Amino acid sequence: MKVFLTAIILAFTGGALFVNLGSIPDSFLLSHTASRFYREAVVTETGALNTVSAILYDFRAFDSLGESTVIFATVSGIVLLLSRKTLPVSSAGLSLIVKRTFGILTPFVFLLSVYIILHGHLSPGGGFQGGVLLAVITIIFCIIYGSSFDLSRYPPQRKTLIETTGALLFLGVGIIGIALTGSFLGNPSAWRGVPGTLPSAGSIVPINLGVGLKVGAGLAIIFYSMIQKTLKRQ
Amino acid sequence: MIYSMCFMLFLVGLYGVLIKRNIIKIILSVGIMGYAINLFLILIAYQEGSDFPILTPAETSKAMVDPLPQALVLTSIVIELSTTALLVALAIKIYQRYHTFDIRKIRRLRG
Amino acid sequence: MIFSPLLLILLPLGTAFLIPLVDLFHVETRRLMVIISASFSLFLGFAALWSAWPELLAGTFFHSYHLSGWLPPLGINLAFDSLGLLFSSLVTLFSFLIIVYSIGFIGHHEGKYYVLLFLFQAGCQGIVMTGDIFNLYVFIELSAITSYALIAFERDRSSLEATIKYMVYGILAGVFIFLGIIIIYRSLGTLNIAEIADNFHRIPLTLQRTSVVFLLTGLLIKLGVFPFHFWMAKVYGSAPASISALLSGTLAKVNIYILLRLFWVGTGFSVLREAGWDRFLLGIALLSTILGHVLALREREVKRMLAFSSMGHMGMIVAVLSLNTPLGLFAGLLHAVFHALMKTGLFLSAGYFLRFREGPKEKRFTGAAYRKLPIFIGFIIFALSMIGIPPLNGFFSKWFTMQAFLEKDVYPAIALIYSGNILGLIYYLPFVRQGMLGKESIMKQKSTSSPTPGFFYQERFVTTVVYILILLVMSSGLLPFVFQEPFEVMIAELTEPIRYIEHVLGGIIHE
Repeated sequence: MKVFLTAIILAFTGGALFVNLGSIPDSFLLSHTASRFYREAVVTETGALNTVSAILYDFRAFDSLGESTVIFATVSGIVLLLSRKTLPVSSAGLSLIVKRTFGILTPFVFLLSVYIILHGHLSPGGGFQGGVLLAVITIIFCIIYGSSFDLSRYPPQRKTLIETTGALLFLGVGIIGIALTGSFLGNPSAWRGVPGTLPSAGSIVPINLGVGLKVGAGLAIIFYSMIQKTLKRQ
Repeated sequence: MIYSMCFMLFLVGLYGVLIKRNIIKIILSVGIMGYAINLFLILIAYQEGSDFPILTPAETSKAMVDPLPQALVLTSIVIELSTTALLVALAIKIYQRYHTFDIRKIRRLRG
Repeated sequence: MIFSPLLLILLPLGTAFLIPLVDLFHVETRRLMVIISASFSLFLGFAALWSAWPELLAGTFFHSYHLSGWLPPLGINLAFDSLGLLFSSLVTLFSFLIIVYSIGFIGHHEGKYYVLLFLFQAGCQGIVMTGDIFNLYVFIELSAITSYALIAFERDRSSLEATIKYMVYGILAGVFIFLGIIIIYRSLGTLNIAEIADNFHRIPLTLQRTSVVFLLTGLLIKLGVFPFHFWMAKVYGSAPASISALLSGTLAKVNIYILLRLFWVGTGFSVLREAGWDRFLLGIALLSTILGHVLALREREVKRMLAFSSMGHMGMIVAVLSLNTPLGLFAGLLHAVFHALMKTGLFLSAGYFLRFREGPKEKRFTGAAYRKLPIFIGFIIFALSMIGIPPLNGFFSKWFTMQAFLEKDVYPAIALIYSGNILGLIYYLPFVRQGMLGKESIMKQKSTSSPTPGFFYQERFVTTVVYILILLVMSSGLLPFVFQEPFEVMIAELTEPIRYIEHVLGGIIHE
């Protein structure tokens, strides 16, 4: 019965998808589309070189606000689901060779993540990508050095503090945008700077920073909540 | 046609979500569906003979592929990540209560 | 308008971000902050409605806000018209009521609960205000994810099972909606709802129908119309009562808003009518109505019964909306508002009995009349209103619904509504009877309410909210004509979206 229903659903969905293969128009039906404007005028309008970042953090910044809020909500939900009163920690890490190697590598991971976050408007990257790398550092601590090391360096309270700082930074930049440009999350032309340099592209850099902190700390909290359950007590 | 491969991938993911009994396999199938949709979105953005949408400091504009779907894909990836994380957390919690990942065994009340 | 509607989104959002910070330093201020923020949101909602009322009646109300300073379609815009004002007021009102109720209701893990609740409110406000279809998707996912986490709040077996089931359905719905959006973007090149409304008829016919099918399927899964209703009973039954009230009262009505916005304004109803799908929608909605009422008959647990009753009423709303006559749209919107009031009241009063007394779930309703008579009377009032007894508000919305069906000669629908009413009487009665049993043993039981620091007993919050809802239900029943004029304005806007397009894009652009 279940197989039969699934077959019907798959047939309908597949049919609906495949019937259109011939009729997808070659180009957009509208002649003055938003993407044409983005392609032609991104540097002059926003000062950023990375068009995708300009779309994400300037033209459609509200979407990024919603999206980073989704991560915030997920972190709250997972902490709600998996929280316990006691924090089991263990000092069991990996072998000495791995610990020594990562002792040298981890600062460079941090450097790479900060580079990706701050250069979001110049090269591929941005807040979300760099934030994930920030969270990787916590994962390195947990796996290689043991979760008690992670607990001593970055207790959950500190991670929550970083996360809310990032979130409030994003909102703050938006509100400053009201003061400077008249609309929420506007890109102030006073901050535009010279395209191609690091301090340019207006509000994109602070927004990237806020999103990077939020995502990084959020994913770190998620990981820490999940691993509590599977390590043994020592 | 490349689009048809995308649709096949989507149908595979949909099949997994509907048929499979193991929660972990359902999570993986949701991931496959997500990949298929993101791939479809990026394929839509392609224009013949154009370049990637990042400029060098020297030029002010160039012929590039459509950058808007790429921004949409970034958003979509983040949202699917959140959904997957929540599903995995639920799977962990369910394993603690029921000691199984089989959704048939955890179905106690009829919905 | 005297202030920007953006504040209605930003205030809950900012509060949600601040709560973990406050938690780190001083936990007791959290409750104070929650109350202040909820009250301020309610005040803003009232102020918005009050200041917009003259424009609303004149039919000229439209507030557009260009985010990031870019004109649509380059940027995202908030397109706040009269329909959005109605649903935004609903969201504000119910969020306030549920937040106050929760102060007395939820005893544990309060910090994360309020964060999720405020994020849910921000998400719903974002849905009703946005004018961009991808932004709509982002906010749909935001409210969906917060609702998944809130349903699993109790973390017992049935909640976890319900959440997994709801999540799989919700993910499928989100995927289908996203597919519809992608197909529209690929054909048109825009993501702005007003531009889509202006140009949808230019898309090749198969693409039009495919995108409409995907969007409609995703929405129907979220609404819980047959055959996608399987998640409803489990979810509403295992979530805490305040969350069930939030989901069935607020989220379901916001989904109705999405239905109206996407299919009446966005694509134009003619797409559905020419493909014959409005009759299909009518059919499955009516089927869902009768199925919901029938399945409620055999439920012994109060929240599951209310879940199936919700399914029946949502089916009725979708059915009468799909008629696409002015009377049908009026009846649908009216019933959406009234049903939200009634169902929230039912869930909240049932939640009172389930929370503040001990015992297994099926037995907790016993002797309810002797524990707190006013709340029990409230439960009876809400139930009578659902059945459709005058002069309560359920009677008026059902009356208009039946008139709408009569106008289009859909006689089976009228029979179904009548039988739905009678079935409602049959399935509410056992709970009323159960409430009046067991007098002697109840008098000896104590209440399990405990005092909250600095404020009244927890129970006071809960009971006050139920009293407010009783007041609202009865007054909207006595004054239904208040709704007539504004609704007519909204219906005119829905059936002719030219005004919407003009306001957003500043002049009709035909290419």
